Amino acid sequence: MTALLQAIDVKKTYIREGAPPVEALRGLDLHLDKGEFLALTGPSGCGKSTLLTVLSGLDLPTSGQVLFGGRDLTTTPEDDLAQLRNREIGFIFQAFHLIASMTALENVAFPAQLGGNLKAEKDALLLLDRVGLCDRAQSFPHQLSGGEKQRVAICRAVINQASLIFADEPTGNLDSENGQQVMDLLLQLRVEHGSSLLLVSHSPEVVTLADRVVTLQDGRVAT
Amino acid sequence: MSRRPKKLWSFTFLRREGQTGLVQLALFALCVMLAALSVAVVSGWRASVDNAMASENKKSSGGDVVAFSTEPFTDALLEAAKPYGGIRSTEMFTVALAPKTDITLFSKLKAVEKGYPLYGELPLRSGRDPYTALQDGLIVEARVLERTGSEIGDELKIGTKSFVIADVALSEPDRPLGMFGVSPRIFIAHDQLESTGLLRPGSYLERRIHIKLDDPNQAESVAETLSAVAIPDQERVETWEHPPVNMERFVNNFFTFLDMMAVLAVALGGLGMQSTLTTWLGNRQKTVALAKTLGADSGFILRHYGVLVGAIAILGIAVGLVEAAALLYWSGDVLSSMLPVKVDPRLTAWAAAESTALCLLVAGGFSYWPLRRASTVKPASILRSETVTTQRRTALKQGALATSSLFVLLLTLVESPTRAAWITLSLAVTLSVTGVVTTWTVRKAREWRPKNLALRTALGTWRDPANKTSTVIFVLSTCLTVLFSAGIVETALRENWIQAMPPDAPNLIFVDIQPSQREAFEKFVNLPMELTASLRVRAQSVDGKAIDRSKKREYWDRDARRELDASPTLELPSNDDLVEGESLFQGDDPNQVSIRDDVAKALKVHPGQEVSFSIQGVPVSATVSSIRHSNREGFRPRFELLFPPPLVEGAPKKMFARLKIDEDLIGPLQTRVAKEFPSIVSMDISQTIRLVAERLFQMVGIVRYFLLAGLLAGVVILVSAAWSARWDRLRESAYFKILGADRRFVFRVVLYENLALGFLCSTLAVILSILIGWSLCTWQLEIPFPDLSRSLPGMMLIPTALISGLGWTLSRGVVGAKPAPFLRDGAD
Repeated sequence: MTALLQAIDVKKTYIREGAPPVEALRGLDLHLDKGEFLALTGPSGCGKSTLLTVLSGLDLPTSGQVLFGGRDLTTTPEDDLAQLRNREIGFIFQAFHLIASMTALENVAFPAQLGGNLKAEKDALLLLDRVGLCDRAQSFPHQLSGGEKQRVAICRAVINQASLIFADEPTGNLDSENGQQVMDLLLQLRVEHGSSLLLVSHSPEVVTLADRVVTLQDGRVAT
Repeated sequence: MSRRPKKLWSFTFLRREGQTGLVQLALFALCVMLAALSVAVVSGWRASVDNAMASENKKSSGGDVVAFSTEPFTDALLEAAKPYGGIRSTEMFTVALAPKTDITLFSKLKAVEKGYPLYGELPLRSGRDPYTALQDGLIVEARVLERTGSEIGDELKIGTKSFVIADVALSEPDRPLGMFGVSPRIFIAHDQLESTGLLRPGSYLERRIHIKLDDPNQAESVAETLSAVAIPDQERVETWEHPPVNMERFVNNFFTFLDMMAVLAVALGGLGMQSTLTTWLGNRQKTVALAKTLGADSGFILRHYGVLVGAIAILGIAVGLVEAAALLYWSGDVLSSMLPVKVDPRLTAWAAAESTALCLLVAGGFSYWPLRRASTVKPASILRSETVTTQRRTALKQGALATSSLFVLLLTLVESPTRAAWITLSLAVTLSVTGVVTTWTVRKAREWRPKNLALRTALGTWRDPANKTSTVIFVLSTCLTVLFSAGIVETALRENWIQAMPPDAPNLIFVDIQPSQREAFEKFVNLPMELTASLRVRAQSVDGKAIDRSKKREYWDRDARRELDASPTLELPSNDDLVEGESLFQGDDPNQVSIRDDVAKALKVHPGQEVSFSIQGVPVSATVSSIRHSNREGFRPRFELLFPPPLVEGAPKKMFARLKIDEDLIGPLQTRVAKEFPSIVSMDISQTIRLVAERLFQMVGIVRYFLLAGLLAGVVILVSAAWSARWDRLRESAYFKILGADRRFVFRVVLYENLALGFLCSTLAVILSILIGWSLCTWQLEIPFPDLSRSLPGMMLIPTALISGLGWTLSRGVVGAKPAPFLRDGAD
């Protein structure tokens, strides 16, 4: 299989005024193949979220390389990174991070509009219908339940046919029933769109669904 | 990778983001509106004054070419002026007596020939031609009738002769400096002036020859022809293109002052814009990060928020312009009463366009950094809360950008790079000093660890890097400082000059007393008085080098070519101090002169130099013995030159008498003197001061308007800061309660925080305004600093109460915040 994403000797150190530096990632190597579902697990503070921000190009590593489709994200200009995230990457967060001022429909359509898709809202509505939220399309995030918010976030992540979805504890804020529904939906849509999935989770039930599991410990790959 | 459209727009994003920030954007619009209002009002006023000055120059000059002299015109000049026709006028102060009511009136008499006025009109109540009316008697201003209790047809005694009041003048075309209205106008036919007995040697009067040319473009060459035969400095020839320097100076100073106030209001409004925008965009940090996570680039963020801010700025400017148009419409009379010309201010299309451009520039200057900072938010901050603090370098860049936009604004307003630079520098220094003092004080307050937990907690809230306390205190204390400074100066003027003149200060002055009348006058008045001799002197040369008379005339106090006031004395006046020279005069040599410092500066002389003078034709040479500085205390005369009496023994001189008498006795004494000595002019100082004071306090009113605009910007920042922080404050309050605090504790925290805010604003403003007020009183106005013991408590308590009250009102909901909602998921 061809590697879609590759991290080579990635280090990330946070330097804060008046406090000792924090080495969040200490020379980490990782790869993710096309169509693969990789689960990232480990104790709190082991660097999972940091790794996710670095791998997705949201933040730069202190050193090392991050290759996406062979392209080094650490040397890619900010605007190109933005375009890459828009076209190739979808995000799902534990805290949902929907734009509070936009309706569910607008939240889903927004990345497609950023990509210049003229029928973004139509596509978004189809997706919302697909996840059973057609009747909540005009609701604002604060009017949605946690499960509904996460389903909207999943629609938003896949609307641009992303080749890679980053999911950071997507069921962390949900009860088990909603969590199960969200995971089923995420996996279904991943298969439908042929996306790779890099998922951070503490939940053993979720982790067992993955093709491969990587455990982080103190900023390094433990297993 | 295929490229997407370069300048992508999302109207959903634009619309939704606009909706989220309605309150902050409304506050931003309010700040822009205040700036636009201030700039447009000053621009409108200036444009209308410039227009009025330009269109009335001929009217106010009284002709295309006008020759002036205090002495009778020489034959040479009269001969040279003959081919151009021309009419004569003579103007002087006099005291008119109304025999019917026995009331005297200090007035300004103007004798005019047929044909007056050459430009403009002298409309009369009867509608008659002025010259026809003057054949029947006097034409007076309506105030003459009011103050003397006279009517048309009654008699009025001018000098030694009685005249009938023939008509009332409704306006006057060439009275540019009659703005204080101290001396109402009386017109008399020129050929009747001699019969009044007022034309005595040394009388204070001004003679003019007004010339109207067929081709006004020839004015300069005609003026040159006349100047060639005129006696330098005794006879002066001007054209209509050069308004009197004093008028020009007054207008310039008036507008420099207004420009400063307007720019201060704009600067404070700009700070308000920056603060509200920073707060709003700070709240949008997560959204910006999220948009970037989803693929938006910095340009997308900058474009969208920039468009929103621009649209709101245009809205604010539009509202400001509408308000300015209304204010200008209603301000015509007030402004006209303060200026030498009648103005009819309107917001012209040009002034509106100029104000719009300037306000967009200022709004752009103050909005750029908040927008730029928003556009550079990292997408990773969606997962990590990042506190944005302003680095010193960024703050300096922001300051430089804001100062540059203010400089451009001033440059457009005052059209003089030097003056614009000076005003910008003064404002920048003032604001920097206030800023440094504020920052230091707030830092000290934050570091303070009082024992009282509620107070400690209250001050602790200021430690949040995103807290706006410093900005709020800076803006509010700056406005209060200027307001208090104006108040202190006003109080000083009232106490020292207007209300309570010093006990020994005179309230009645008699001028134009001939030395031969002295004895009879003293005997007639029979009251204690201080009689002083005065001389009218012109400087001719310094160390044998004639004074350069070819230069354009300077402002009055910088031009030593003008007529100087002098007095013979051997004693240093009580309100004078020597700044150069060991004593007033050295030894017994009579050929000495002591010169006031401003005149010495204009003449560029120092002790030891030889200066020659002309005292109404009598030549006198003297060595400079000392340089003096005269302060303005006690309404004492401030002679520019002092001579040893023997030196000016034979020179023509006049006397003036200063009396301090019961106010009720002033009128009757004026009447008695007017009857007995018609040529002696009396001035009721207290009445004059009251009239001047009215105008002065009108100007103070204008200052207050601009400062209130600035103060409103401070309130906007306070509201904006409180509004944006409300969620954090509610959560903080909820956390206090979760941790066991009761409502009383939260109440005390909120109360102490707002009291501290109000107290710091007031204290800083009081301290800074006392320093500024003291400096102005001591070095500029030269009057004692007023006693503030009675007003200090009000200066401290009123702003403290108002600011604390406002802060309390804005944050009172915090006290009742319920903790439960904050324990639930609140991520979105």
